[in-house]
Amino acid sequence: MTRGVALAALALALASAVTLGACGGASGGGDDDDGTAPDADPGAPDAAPGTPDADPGAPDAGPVVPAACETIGPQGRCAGDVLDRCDGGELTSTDCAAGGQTCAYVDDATGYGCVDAASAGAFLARGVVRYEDRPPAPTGALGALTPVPARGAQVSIVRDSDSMVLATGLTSDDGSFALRYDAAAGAQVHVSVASRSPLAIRPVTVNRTQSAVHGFGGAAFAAAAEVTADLLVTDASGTSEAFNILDQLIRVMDMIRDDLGDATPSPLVARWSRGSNQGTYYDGSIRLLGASSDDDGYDDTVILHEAGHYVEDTQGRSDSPGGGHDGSPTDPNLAWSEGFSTYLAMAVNGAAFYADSNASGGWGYDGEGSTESTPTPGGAIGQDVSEDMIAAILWDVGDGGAGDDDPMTGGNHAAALRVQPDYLRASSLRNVGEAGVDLVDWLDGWFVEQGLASCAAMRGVVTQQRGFPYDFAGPGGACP
Amino acid sequence: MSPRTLTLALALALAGACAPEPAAPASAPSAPAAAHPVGKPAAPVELVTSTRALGGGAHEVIVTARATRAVPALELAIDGTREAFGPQPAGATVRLAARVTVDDGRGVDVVASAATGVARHRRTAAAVVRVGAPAAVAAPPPTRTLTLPDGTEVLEVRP
Repeated sequence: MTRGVALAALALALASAVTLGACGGASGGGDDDDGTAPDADPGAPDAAPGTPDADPGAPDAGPVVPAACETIGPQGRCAGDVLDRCDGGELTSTDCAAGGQTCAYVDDATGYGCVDAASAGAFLARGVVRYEDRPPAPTGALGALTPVPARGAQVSIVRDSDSMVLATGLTSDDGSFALRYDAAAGAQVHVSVASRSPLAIRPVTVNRTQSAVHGFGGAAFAAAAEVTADLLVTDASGTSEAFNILDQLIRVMDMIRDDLGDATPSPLVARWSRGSNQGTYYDGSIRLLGASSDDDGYDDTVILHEAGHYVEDTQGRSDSPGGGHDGSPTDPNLAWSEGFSTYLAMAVNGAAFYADSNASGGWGYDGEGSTESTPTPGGAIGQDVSEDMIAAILWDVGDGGAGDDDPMTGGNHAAALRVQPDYLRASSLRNVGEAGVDLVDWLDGWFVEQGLASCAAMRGVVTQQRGFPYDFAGPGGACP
Repeated sequence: MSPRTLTLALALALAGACAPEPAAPASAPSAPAAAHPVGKPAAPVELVTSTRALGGGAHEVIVTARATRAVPALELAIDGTREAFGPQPAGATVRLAARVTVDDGRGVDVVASAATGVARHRRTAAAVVRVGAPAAVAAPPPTRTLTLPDGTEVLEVRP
């Protein structure tokens, strides 16, 4: 929080009930904020959750979000003394200077606003925070280091002499920040960024393997009326991956808000440190490998997959017994949990592939077309199935628009994902096949939520393309 | 010189510690997923690596892979040395050895890996083995602890 800010000095534009979390433009959709260009081959880039679906007939496509909002975020942005806000999905720009004010961070409840310079801090530091990313290819290989904006990260002005935090705020989704602070004129200060977002709508913390949050500090400068101090979190510092993890998990939080309708998701902690060999898994928090043999800090779909377990844990339901899994037919509860999580990763990423780098280059697979193991023809509805088949079915149900290669052309990812909170979380599940939540229960929930209009197309995907013997006779009604 | 052996159990070690438990009754509320650690998708193989000093700067690097399920193909590699073993039943073990030479007093990281499956179903697991002199331990970047206004501690790296 910027010290000394007089809330009463907020511009009229902000006085009208600014509500954080309403900015749909912060959706996880923007599938390329990190500069990656998911290859069309393993799954044509698709409308990610929260983005307008290409199929105008698709249900629940969500609000159309101005493109400019995608780089602003729920906290707003200062472009010089112009305040940009995207509350309610509408971009509004306010010239703070016209009212004799200046644009700066107010507090976490307000974000950026117009403030009186005199009461908000004598000095202003502004700039852009970026981190070095290595965009993953569908093969598992990582690309070259590429600076990308650090969106929604906690940024502070720190006094060098005693490490006192003088002001703190959040970067906008384009990585920009504007913080006012007080210090002795000429005192040495610096910009510091932490891998954390304390916003209630984006409650994400990326810790080292112990409890401390990753931080990165820039060069010192003398406190002055206005200083521009950009920051690049480097790979060499061993911290850039923490900011990539933060960025991926913020995408998930935005999906939860925009597509699942929860503006106050449960806080999520991830742990990663370079050199960590304690595994990659979810157990209420996310732990990610940082070993030289296998480092998941830049593996977006691995990070998102583990976040998928967080989503089913906090928004839906899981009866997974846990354990290893490799794409081969396995316990339906485990296969469901893993397939859903991979699907969520692909949906948030907007491309149908899963990729995992390692010291030998890594591996990846086409999440839409690569099902190694198909169900046994004529087998039971509760038979062991492949997580890959489940991810492929969900993707086919969720994708749509021009070029869609499956019968479910009218689906969208938001509707597919919402079966978790809307049905699986609280409903009594039909006692068919395997006990506990599995693909059968998701299909039941789909028809409960969507009705029977998609019966023919769903038969095409589920039974004809993928060979899964669903009975199409769940609580939503019997398909003709 | 007595053999120096490094052993790394990879990939499924964590997963193997998680014994399946009975599924919940169909109508019961879910136990949180947090109750059962769930690892990432992996290759169906376990790797064990070892090294043996042969003298004169030469080292033998050995990688042993065990297929955790039947696989249509299994390939091992140690740096540039590769060998394809074809289809393997569950539990089958295959082995590859390669010679690595390093200058006196020097060391090198060697990547050993296994690939299962073919084409679009290929999955890999990797291990890094050090041969020769241990890697120089780089001085950790200078850090300091900051305390944010809400009490959160940040370990700041400041190159």
